[in-house]
Amino acid sequence: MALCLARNFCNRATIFNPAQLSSARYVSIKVVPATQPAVEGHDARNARFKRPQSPHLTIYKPQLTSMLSITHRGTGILLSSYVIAAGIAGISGDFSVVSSIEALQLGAASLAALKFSIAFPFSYHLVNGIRHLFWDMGKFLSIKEVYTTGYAMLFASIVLSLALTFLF
Amino acid sequence: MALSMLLRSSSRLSPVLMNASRISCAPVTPILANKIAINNSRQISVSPIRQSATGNHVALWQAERALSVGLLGIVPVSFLIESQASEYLLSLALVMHFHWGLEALVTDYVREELFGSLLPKVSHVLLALISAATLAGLFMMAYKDQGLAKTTRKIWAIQPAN
Repeated sequence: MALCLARNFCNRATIFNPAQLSSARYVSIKVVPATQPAVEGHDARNARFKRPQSPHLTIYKPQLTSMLSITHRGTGILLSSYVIAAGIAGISGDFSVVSSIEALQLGAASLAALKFSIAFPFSYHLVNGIRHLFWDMGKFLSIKEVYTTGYAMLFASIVLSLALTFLF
Repeated sequence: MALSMLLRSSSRLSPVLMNASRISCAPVTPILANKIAINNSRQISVSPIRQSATGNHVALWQAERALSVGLLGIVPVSFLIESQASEYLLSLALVMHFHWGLEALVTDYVREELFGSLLPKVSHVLLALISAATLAGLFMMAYKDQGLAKTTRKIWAIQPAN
């Protein structure tokens, strides 16, 4: 092979002949780290198969399980927005939240509604949060238990939120 | 030539070797590894380690659960006793709790496939800023003795107008 290359260098007329060049070319092999195959995500795979979003929310039957789950998120977002609002008011030096509500001169029903709008998301997120912690310990995970604890949680959170609204 | 052939075959085998080294953790030279891989190929597991695409989240999951359990005590205590220390603790615990919750939300819904590569990153930065600002604000409230628990207690004490 080396002889072949040397002959090409000597013969200037044929050095640009592609056929001769390819027969004389050295192939160098380099070890490179293997690249892991790209993992296709859930969304990318759905898009490739032209599938609708899963679960298909417009046709999928609403169930207790999914409804309680999304409400847990919803109440979490609501409670977060209350805390963020209080924090932003605090950082802007405005500590008059209580006096501003007092200035509205709310009646008993409006005050109860205001308290309930805090008490219900709090109670729901608290009680369902405890349900989640039991799941995290591996308890109550059968379909039957998920439904039983679901109804129990709903009942307990409504009772607790009414108690917080009217008894305190 | 023989060496380069050996190297080439070892590079072809390297996916196997990479997984094997993760499991056995035995430092071996490439040529030696090549021989071992051929001889013991039946004993090497090549199944990938199962974990999230963005790394190991076990510590975060455990911290989130620990905080959730902690909140079951911190929240009632801070409403039952009036103290600035409990207001600071409540502020920190609540901000950490909602930050992790909203972070999961942003990760779930503000996805690259739906919003492009920029908006998810901006959302995460924005959330971090909101959480930091909220924590600062709640600390200021606690410092001025107008903490979150005390404020809520005062709202509950408002009497109806008529």
